[in-house]
Order: sequence, then structure tokens, then C-alpha cells
Amino acid sequence: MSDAPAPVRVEVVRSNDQGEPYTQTYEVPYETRMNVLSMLHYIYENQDPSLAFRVCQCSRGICDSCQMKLDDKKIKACSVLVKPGQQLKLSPSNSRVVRDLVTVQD
Amino acid sequence: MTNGLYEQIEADVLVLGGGGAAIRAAIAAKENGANVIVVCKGVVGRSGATPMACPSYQAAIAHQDPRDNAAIAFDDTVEEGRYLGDEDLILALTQESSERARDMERYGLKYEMAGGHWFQVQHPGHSYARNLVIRGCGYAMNAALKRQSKKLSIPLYEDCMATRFLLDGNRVTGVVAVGMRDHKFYVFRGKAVILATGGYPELWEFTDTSRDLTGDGVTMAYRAGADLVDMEMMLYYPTCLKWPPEVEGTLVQHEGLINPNYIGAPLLNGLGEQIIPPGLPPVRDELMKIMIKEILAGRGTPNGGVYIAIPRSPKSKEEIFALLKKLDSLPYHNMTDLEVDVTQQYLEVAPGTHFTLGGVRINDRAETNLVGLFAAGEVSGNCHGANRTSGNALAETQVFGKRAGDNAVQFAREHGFGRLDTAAAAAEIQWLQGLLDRSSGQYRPNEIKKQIQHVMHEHMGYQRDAAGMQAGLAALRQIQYELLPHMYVNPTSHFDYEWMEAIEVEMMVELAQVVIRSGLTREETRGHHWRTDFPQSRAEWCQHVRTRRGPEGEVEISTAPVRRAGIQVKTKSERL
Repeated sequence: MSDAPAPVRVEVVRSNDQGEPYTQTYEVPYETRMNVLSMLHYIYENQDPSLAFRVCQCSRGICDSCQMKLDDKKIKACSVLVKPGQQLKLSPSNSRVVRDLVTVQD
Repeated sequence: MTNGLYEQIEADVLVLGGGGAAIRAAIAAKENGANVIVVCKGVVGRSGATPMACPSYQAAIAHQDPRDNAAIAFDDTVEEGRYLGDEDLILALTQESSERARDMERYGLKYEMAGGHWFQVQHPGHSYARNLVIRGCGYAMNAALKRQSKKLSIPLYEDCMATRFLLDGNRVTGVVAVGMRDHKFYVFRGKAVILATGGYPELWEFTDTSRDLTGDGVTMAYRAGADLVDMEMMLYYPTCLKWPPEVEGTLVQHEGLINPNYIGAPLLNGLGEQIIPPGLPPVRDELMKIMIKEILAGRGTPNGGVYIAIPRSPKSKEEIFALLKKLDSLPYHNMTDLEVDVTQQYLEVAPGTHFTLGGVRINDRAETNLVGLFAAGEVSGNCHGANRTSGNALAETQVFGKRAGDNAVQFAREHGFGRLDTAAAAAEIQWLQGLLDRSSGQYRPNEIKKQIQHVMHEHMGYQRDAAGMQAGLAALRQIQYELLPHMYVNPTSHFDYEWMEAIEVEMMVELAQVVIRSGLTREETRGHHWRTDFPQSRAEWCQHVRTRRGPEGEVEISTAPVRRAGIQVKTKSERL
């Protein structure tokens, strides 16, 4: 009987070809420590190549390229740790949505 | 002007890139009365290397230490470059960096102050306290430059990836690009073109840089016939995180952490033994070698690095956090965002690729060998030589950004637009579209990218030798001919990152081979090119290795002498 950490459940507010929002839920195994951004990289590389988000840029937690909303609150995805068994809702940082979690930023 | 295939946009000066050099060049060109457009692969100020740069900016203006001056900075830079940097460029860099720092102050950038003047720190390789500390690091610098560009109404085409230069003979006349927001194709045309797209540290597996730094601009220039130099020279930053895993690769600034004048944390191996003597840490190439030797000897930490032991600093917790705040040495709010208390926990670090020393060859007017193509910043390859001191990268962006902007305007005034090769543009667009349409195959671009990065880590990594590099070339050729043709892309309507990775990978596999070929040619160890089969620097190799694309796509190799300024350089040991 394994006591592996519980998987993470992520609900992502995405957008279809017409720009209309819909949600898609992913179950991400907790294999290693993750922040929200590294978790999205995991989903893109292993589960869903179509998921759009801005990839890691500054690697320091300052550039805000990875801006998005977690449970409706604005975050930098690289600066928030994800815990085993956590349930998250991710949505775009502002209303100027390009696709999924990619927005036009100032 | 739009045809069915692409939208054509023209300007006197076309700037590619979005970092320190690109935006400074655009500002200079606009201030000279040209109309300018900027085309950036990501969001300006949130992509490339400048936003993640540490706050150091070399400016030998002797505010902190009256003994310093630009001539000494010149000597230091020549010496630390292991005598491989072109001295006319180093002269410009050290003479003009302070003035360019003042320009940025006018754009609203702030530096740490001390007693009414600029606060300056002494980093390894510098004779005196010389580096300004930018408040808010490279991020603030890029932001200040972006604000200035907006004040000047310079249009920025963001999320717009340039893929190929268009030529009129040996003159660069424009670029083909794809806008990722809507998958629209563009042909950008300039009377003069400035390449400021940064380097290629992402060719390697363990790196501290932004994911978009795959060297596209260098590859584009190479494919257009530009001379590249010293491509094997990739600066390893000694201390990049090996733990925690979610931020693997992130840089921590050892200059502030290890230096006894600042935090004074000892550098320990996995057994807890000090691996460098107390005092000013050695320069980057020397420190990298010391660390790698420990790791390869089996004395590394659990995650394959060495420890920075901040808990063993002689300073108090309050003093440590005050210094961390002033020096900006640690990311993620001093690791607290990631729930790591650095005063309780050791950091595990190892060298990672960080700054591209080699690249496109320029003269002191920022001209390349291609007519109408200028290059500035990390994309250029002959300023720093075989090793670079802290603070010189940001200074380079400003000094050569301005030179490129000024000289590009002069060129644009003297020449009209070059002839646009519309057939080549159409062919490139057809190829790009075909890549997006390749919906079935065996390999995702990301898989191939990781294989390339692993080959470079294994065969063109910290330590190199002929057999390893030859094996690396063979592995890359296999990737190019056996994997790439079976790459497929998951199509989406817009912002298809997988498509972008496919375009990157096709360029990376060629660039990586140029890097290895150049490394094989240089039969010596110099700076960050560390050959176990040629462990010493050799006087006959104190010259540039030049690479240029031959007519069949082969790598043509030649050498070129280092340009000397006729100045008698005093080394640091001679000065003391």
C-alpha cells in the first residue's frame, strides 16, 4: 500500500477558437515539488500539448510574465508552491486573453 | 501592405529583440530622427536575458573608490577575457558605460546610493569597487527602457518570432516573422537592421536563463552568411540552484553570498568541507572549475552540486536579510515564496550556462560583415573574450545598443530600402505553415529539444575533449536526419507554443553543431572552454575561431587575430 502524495486537481479556464471560455480539468501526479508554473510545464509536456501559457522567463519571480489568477486572485505562477492533493482553479490574469492562460500584458 | 500571404511593414531601422541592447538601439535610432520598429519574440521586458539580470552594471566612475578609472577597467576586462576580446570593443565598453548609465537614470532608472553618490561594489575580476547596483535588477532596467521607447512612440511587435533574414546579395533587407498571437505572417523591412536577440544558453540542459534564448538570431545571421566567432565560449555561472526542483537552474548571486565583505557564506562540498579559501571568491571560470572538480570527484551534494551555507555566515539573521535586500542576491523574495528559509537551510548549486560569450562578429560601429546588419549585446561574439566579469553584460547592451542605433540611422540615410526577395519570403512562409500542418509523426518538438540539450550537456559541457565533441556531433547529426523529419506539431488556432518549439528546434540542431565544431577547432583551454585533452592555454591559440556557413551548408572554419588597441595592459597582480 503506497503512501505516495495525493495528485493535484487543476481546473483551467481555457478559451476555444472563438475566444469563448470553457474549463478543462487535469489531474497532475505529485511526483516532485512543484510551483504552479512548473506544474503547467508538466501538463504541456506530458498530458496536453494544446494548453497555452507563457513559459518561464526570468526564473527569479520578478518579471510577471507568468501572471495568472489562482482561485480568482492574481499570482505569479512561478512564485506559488503547489501542495499534494491541492485543488486549484487557474484563469487568465486579465480580460485580454490570447488563448487559455496567455494574455496581452502591459 | 498585405497580400494574402503576409503583412509587410517597413521602417528606416528594424530592431530585432526586446532586451537592453534592442531597446537602447531603438531609442538611439529614434532620437536620431529615424522611424523605428521593434520585433520581439516575447513580451518586451518579460523575455530574454535582461529582465533576469543581476543588478550589476560596470561603470568605472570612481564614486565609491577614487582609485578607479576607465583605463583600469579596460585592463581588467582584457585580462579577465583571457586576452580573447577585441580591444577596440573593450575600449568603447569601458569608456562609455558610465555615460550610458546616466542615460538610463534619465529614463527613470534608479541605482543604489551611498552618501549622495552611486554605491559601487567590487566583484571578482575588478580591481576596485566599480559595479553599480541597479534597484530592481535587470527587470527594472528593461522596464525603464520600455517606458522610454513608449514615450518616443516606437511600435513594439511583441510575441512575434523572426525566423529568416531576407537578402539582396550580401545585404540584409528584412525578416520573415510569425505573430504568435494570431499566427499571422509578417515581412518586416528595414533600410538598416539591428540584431539584438541575445544568445543561446538554452542549447544546454542545465541553464539559468529564459526559455526563449535558443539563439534564433545567431542562427538566422549564420544562415544569411554572417561571420560568427568563438562559438564554443559559453559562460557558466557557477551557482545555479540544484534544489528545490521546481526552480532548478535559477541563479543565486554568489558574489554577494560568498564574499566576506557582504554575507560571507562558506562554499562547502557534500562532506561539509570548505572548497575555496575565505576571501574574495575567484572569477567565474576558475570558480566553475573548482566546483566541477569537487562534483566529479564524488564529493558533491545529494542533487549534484555544492553548498552555499548561509547559516554558517558570521553575520546575524537581521544583517543577512538587510544585505540580501540591498544586493538582490536571491530570487523569489529570498526564497521565502517557496517556503525555504536560507538562514536555516543550505542551498545546493552547480554551474549552469548563463551568458553567451561567442556569437556574431562586429566592429566598433556594431557592424557585421553583412551590409546593413548591425548587432549589439549578447548576440555579438567578440567583446568579452573567453570569460566575462560581472556587470559587463548590461554595460555592453547600452554601449553597443546606442552605437548600433546611431550607426544604423546613418546607414539608413545613405541607402534606400534593399530589394525585397519576395520569393524567399514566400518559401519561408510555406515552410513555416508546413511545420504547423505536420500533425502526425513520432516526436514532439519538446522531446527533440531535450535530446539536443542533453547532447550538449554531455559532449560540450563543463569539460570537453575531442572524442566527446565528435560523439556530440554524431548525435546531433542523427537528431537532424533521423528525428527531425518525424517531428509533428499539435495544431491550435493561435499561440501554438509547440509550433514555436518546432521552429526553435530546427535552428538549434544546426547552431549546436557550429558550437561543437568551433570547440573542436580551439585546441587549448581558455576561460570557459575547458578541454581535458588540451588543459593549458596556448599562445598560438590566442585568436578567434571564426565560423561561416558554406554553400552546401557545411561549417567553414577559419581563424582571425584579436584586434589589439596598442595599450600596454597592466594585470591585477602587477597593479598590487
